Amino acid sequence: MTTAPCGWTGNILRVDLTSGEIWTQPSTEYHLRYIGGRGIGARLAWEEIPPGVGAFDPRNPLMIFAGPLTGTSAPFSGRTIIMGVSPQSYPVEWFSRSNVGGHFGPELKWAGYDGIVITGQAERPCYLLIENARVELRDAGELWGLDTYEAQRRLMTAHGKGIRILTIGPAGERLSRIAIINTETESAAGQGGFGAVMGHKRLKAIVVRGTGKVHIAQPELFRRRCQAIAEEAHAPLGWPGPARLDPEKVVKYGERFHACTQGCTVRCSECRWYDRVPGVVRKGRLYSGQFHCASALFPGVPGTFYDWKLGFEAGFELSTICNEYGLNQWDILFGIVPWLRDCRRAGLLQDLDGIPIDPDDPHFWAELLRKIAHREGIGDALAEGGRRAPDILGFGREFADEYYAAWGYAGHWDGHGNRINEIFFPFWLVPALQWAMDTRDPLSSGHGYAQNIMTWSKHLSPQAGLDWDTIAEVAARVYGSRSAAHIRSGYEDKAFPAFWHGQRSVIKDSLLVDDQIFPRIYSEKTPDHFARALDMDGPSFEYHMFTAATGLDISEAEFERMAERVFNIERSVLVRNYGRDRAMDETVIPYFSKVEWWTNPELGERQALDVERFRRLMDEYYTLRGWDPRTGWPTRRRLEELGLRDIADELERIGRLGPA
Amino acid sequence: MKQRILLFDAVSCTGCLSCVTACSMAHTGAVSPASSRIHISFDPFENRWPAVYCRQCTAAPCAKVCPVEAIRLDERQEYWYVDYERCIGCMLCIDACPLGAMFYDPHHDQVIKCDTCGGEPACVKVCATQALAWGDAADRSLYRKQKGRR
Repeated sequence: MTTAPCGWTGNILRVDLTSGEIWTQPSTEYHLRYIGGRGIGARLAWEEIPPGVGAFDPRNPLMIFAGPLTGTSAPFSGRTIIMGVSPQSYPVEWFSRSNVGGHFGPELKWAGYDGIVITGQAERPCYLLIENARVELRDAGELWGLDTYEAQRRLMTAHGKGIRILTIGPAGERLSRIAIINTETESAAGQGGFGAVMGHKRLKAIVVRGTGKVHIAQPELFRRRCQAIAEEAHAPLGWPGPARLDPEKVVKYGERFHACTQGCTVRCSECRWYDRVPGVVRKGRLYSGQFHCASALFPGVPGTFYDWKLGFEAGFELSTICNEYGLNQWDILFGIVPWLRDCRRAGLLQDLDGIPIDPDDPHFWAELLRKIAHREGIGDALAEGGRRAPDILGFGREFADEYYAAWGYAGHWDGHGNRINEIFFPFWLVPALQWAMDTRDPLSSGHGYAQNIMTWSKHLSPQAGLDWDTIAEVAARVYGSRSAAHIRSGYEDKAFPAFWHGQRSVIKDSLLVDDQIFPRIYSEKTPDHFARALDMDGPSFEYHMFTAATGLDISEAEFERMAERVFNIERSVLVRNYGRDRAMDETVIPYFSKVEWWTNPELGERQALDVERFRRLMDEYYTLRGWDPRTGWPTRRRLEELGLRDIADELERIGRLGPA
Repeated sequence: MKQRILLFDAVSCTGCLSCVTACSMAHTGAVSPASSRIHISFDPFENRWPAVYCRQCTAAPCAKVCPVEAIRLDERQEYWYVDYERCIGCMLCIDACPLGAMFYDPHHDQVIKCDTCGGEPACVKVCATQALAWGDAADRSLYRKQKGRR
């Protein structure tokens, strides 16, 4: 038995770049109420970010957090969450988040910290060096201007190969609203523009080495549970599903599966490595690195909306260039390039300062990325992200409206502007609600409803998928009714899944564990297709790992209440600082009111949102959340139930507390 | 004569480092790479990485160099382990190991090495891609895998 904290370390590292001051703050009380990670960030945002602090205000606190499971032997536990006032957020720069994989978070825990909060602005480029208790700001004059790969290599030369690094590239240095924070070759806080927050602070990189330890309250129980969960997560369906290497690329480029983050114990189809792929744009160069997820769109995907003809080699090169510059691949692939293509077809724009717009030409792409990263010519407007660029340039807004679901983010599992994640009515109703209630693309840590249902179905997995009735039955265990996830269920019972997955999203972002894997709902291993392992139900896996690691003697309902508490703090920050309300939530409606991209095979006709019925779903959602349906503001009753009386008092004082 | 040996296939290793955290857990109940008897020399700019762990040499240099004979074979004469009653902490064994597979654990102030977990290696149990295997020591063809074929 140990008296040291279990799971978390007990320390938050605080750095003020203006004064150069470095100190630590205790974290235990925050963990006991808000789990960790995203939960602590939310509370710190309430406490420390007053209204009026924009993304490029030195007071904007850049928060980099691990969670109680980070740096343990829990499977899928290597991720880190980054939070702060986000440059990409639209139309308002507000408090938001972005997660990053790689191996940084565990190292931060082993250095002795649950998270880092960085305020202020340095006078000259610097980097933060953390080696256990020794924390220093070092001059980054020699690193400023380097791409993210070269910067990391130089830091590894200086500090040894065992360090883990977060860094920005030229895009972040030039304050692009779509600048990423990168680690390794392709793990990044990709959305949110947090690379520009680091750039504004003149913080080039954060380097960590940790030789400490994370204590586990019940080691044998934890080990047994983690092992069982890791085995259960090996599924041939769902996401990431069955993954096979391409025999030709294995021979040519050494194609292998890599774990995109520490503790990932599946051979994920999302994450592969390639060696020495020859450059097409920069002939003579050989590119090596990881290739994840959205990157697979760079080569072009025949038969889809993203059918440019670049091919693998050019696609891999462009993905790498994008990572080196430190630019948001999602915004470029799902937003900017489709937008440019539309503008060209409509005769609104023929070229980028003389370079013809031709997505089949890799040189066009390379110039596009270079211009954006360096804010050159039209790149200066595009560096503001694909949502803002049309407003700045004065044309093409209607095309951007096709692709940008809400909040400055291109679509994801929405059935409309995102035209690679196949989903049809009624299933995108839940994502529509998730989009309405968030500060960003909610699907990146909220895949659990839409992605699971579609990828476990026979529709997308003809060989081994589950039929719609089975899916609805299994889903009923979690959502309380078959109508929540039945193909012919229409608007019935769609609010609860959105509410529930909101909690799951907080849980995943607070522990942290991987969103593609959790929550476990469906299974091919059990007779009733409901995920289980040992004595645990699938959706309870996170709770069981958390209690065995931390030793906290709480019920699962209390654990979920912690997540609900965090969700309410986030909402309260939005209400207090940015005037978030129902009217703002409803701005997602036009996007979903367009006719959907795919067709429900059992309905035979494409659907668009029925606005009145969707508004009633929103009413249901607000009621579940305990928010006033008219304003969308949290109520005193719910806030006090969650132990947030101080927040209720403040919202009341400023006249934004929901009645009753 | 040992029956089985820990084998590592770099081509299957995904760099998840579950072996490192599992080893630390199995031996100490806490998670710290500094307490792990296996290390993966992870480099984000490389495709594959070597695993460093004791290969249970036949005539172990660490045992030879130890001035107090603290490094000994277990009762079945199969695996080398450190007898902490005898160990004086001189760390000559760390210098002697040709693989760099003897480590110093600052959390317990002692040298540590793979002891095969009594024949049921914890790292093998958690390795999801069979990059780590508990293989037949007599099958010499398995030793090729140590280098990682392309």
